[in-house]
Amino acid sequence: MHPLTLIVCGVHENSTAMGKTFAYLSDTLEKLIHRSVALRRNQDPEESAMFGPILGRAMLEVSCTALVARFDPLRVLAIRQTQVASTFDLQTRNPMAFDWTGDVKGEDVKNLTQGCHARSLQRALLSSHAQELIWREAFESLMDNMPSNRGLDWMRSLERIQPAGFVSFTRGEAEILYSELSKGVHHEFVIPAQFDVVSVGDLLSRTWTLIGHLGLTACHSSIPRDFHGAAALEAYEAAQRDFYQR
Amino acid sequence: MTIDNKYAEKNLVLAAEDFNQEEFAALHRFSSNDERVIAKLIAHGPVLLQGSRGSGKSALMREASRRLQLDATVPTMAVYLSLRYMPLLRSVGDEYQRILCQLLVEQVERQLAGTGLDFEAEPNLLSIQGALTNLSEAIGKRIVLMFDDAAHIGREASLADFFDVFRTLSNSSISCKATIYPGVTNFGTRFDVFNDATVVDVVRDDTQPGFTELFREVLIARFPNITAKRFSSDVDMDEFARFVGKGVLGNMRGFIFACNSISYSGEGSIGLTTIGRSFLELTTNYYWPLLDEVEPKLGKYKPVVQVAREIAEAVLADSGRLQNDSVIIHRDILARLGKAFEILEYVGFISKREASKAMKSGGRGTRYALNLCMLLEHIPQARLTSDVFSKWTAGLDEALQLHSKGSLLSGLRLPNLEGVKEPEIMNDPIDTLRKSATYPYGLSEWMLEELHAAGIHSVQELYEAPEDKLDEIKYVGESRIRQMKNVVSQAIWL
Repeated sequence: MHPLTLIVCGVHENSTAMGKTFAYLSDTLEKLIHRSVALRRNQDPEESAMFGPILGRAMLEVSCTALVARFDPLRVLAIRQTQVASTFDLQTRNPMAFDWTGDVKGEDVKNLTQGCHARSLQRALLSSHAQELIWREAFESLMDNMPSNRGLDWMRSLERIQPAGFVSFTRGEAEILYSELSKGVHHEFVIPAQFDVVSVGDLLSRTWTLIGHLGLTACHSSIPRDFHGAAALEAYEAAQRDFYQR
Repeated sequence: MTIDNKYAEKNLVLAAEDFNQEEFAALHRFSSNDERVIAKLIAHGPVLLQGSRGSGKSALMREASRRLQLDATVPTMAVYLSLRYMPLLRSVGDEYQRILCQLLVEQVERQLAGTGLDFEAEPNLLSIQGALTNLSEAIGKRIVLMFDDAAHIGREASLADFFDVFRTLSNSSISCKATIYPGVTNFGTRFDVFNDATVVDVVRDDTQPGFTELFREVLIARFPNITAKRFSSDVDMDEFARFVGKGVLGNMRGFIFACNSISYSGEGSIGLTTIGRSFLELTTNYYWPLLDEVEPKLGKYKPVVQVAREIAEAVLADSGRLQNDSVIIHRDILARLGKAFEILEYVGFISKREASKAMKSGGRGTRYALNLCMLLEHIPQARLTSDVFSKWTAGLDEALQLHSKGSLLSGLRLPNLEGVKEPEIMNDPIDTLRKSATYPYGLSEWMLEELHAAGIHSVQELYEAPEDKLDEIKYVGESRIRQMKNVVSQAIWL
């Protein structure tokens, strides 16, 4: 399995609903990563413009779904339940479907300690509540337990972030990437779009980096996981070596 | 530092923007991480390149621009614009935007000269954006605007205006890139740094892949007289390149200064003694004078320099005694003295490595790597022994920790800062630019006398003096005019 897939999806068994969900997500992410690596290396202008944004956005969505599954299994099990049900209809929108705004971005709400009602609790991956409850502690744990001089180039940018700013930083980057990649998915341009080889290569590289940052930090959260610590850090480095061929 | 005329002329050119194309290509090298930064500069999308003085921001930007000019197959046109322009420094609001737009129009016109393409734009944002969009369509390429030296610490009046321009000009065929210094925090009310741009830190850390190779290649390209020398048994060329690169905190300008010093030391072979001597020379003749040079340029932050100096002295003395090459500063201290630390980072005394680490006594702090040239001054006998060399090369020692209470920084406070004012250096007499440790390539007594006699008394007057006026001064020709213009640029620009 690709080290980036491992960081995001971890290791899992395939007998339970949750295990099957992770198996599917990791299999999908694995294929997307390999295709995106090949696409970036081939430097074919047409392939890059047509398929780069699709691969980038798909990697972002699958990775975020897998991370939501780690932090909030109920949410992903609910999606799965509606999709396996006999009533599931491909031709109508599934109201339970994964949604970028609701499941990743979240809404601006009160802090937990400032009279926030249980109904207003934000479960989105990069919401301010997730920052308060999960990411801050995970990021501090990562920074405190990481041996000096490890993590290669991605770590050099990650370690310049303050724990309080982790979600602002990653959500900002996720929003920019999602928005830019989406423009190549929907073919909304009626003018020549700016998806040249260099721009697509940069978008893919930034997508891998963001997924790596989120995955590695998630591996240091207090949510139980089976892939963490030194193994996660090694995978984080191995992913970079593969992407940038060192 | 002994200034030798043989290399003084060549190495006066320290800023990337001052090289001609041929020299630039011959003397600059880039690591694998640099290559990724260059790709970000070439790619579509807004980027802010942040780094301390001499870190290589301008070189990266110039290299990106150069590659685009050389490769006609890349569907991108680069417009590189240095914002080292005095009227910009002294204007705000609509006037700032008008001047910036005018500069941009002139630069695009220069680049299109002889191509048969027209570029007609008024010096306002809407007109320029429209004209650039039309140009993009006409040439079938997207356009990357590279603003070098866009935002400075202590020169904040026009920053909101700049970031307005940055944001407004960007569209589906135009993207803006800009170099900024650490400590720039005033982005205006309409610019959200997390959502309107990708911030890329230009940091060279010895733990990054390609660090040793980069400095070795620069050494080979720029200092054949060092590589031709014999390396002693205690250090080979790679170890030399890595250690000196690490010593100056990965700062390319610091590395060039260190190699200059070694290059002309007259020693037959290179060893730890040579490196140690050059580090101490750099400390006395480059780093400490740098604070003096920067002080009058910082506008309202000028009084903070004295606090920065006291912090540096205290931290270096304590770390040097223990031979620790990094320090963790408690966040409460940084909340109180943050601007002083930004200034120290800007001049290359320290470099932020980890924003938040747990401290032994509780709480969290930021870890900074320390400049090893300056640290060496404070270790016993100020000698670079093989033990110290091994220890600092490995970099495994625990960082010195300075807590919010009871530490040597507990008593320090920042002075009250008055409202924004023009950097004092503009009104200083030209005698400030006399040859000294602060201005090693400064003006001689003779030049000062002649300039005064010609009615040029202040730094501003020298900056604004046309070359033909300077040329009228007896014994002043092209070479001396260049020297005067270089030293006045050093004095004004950060």
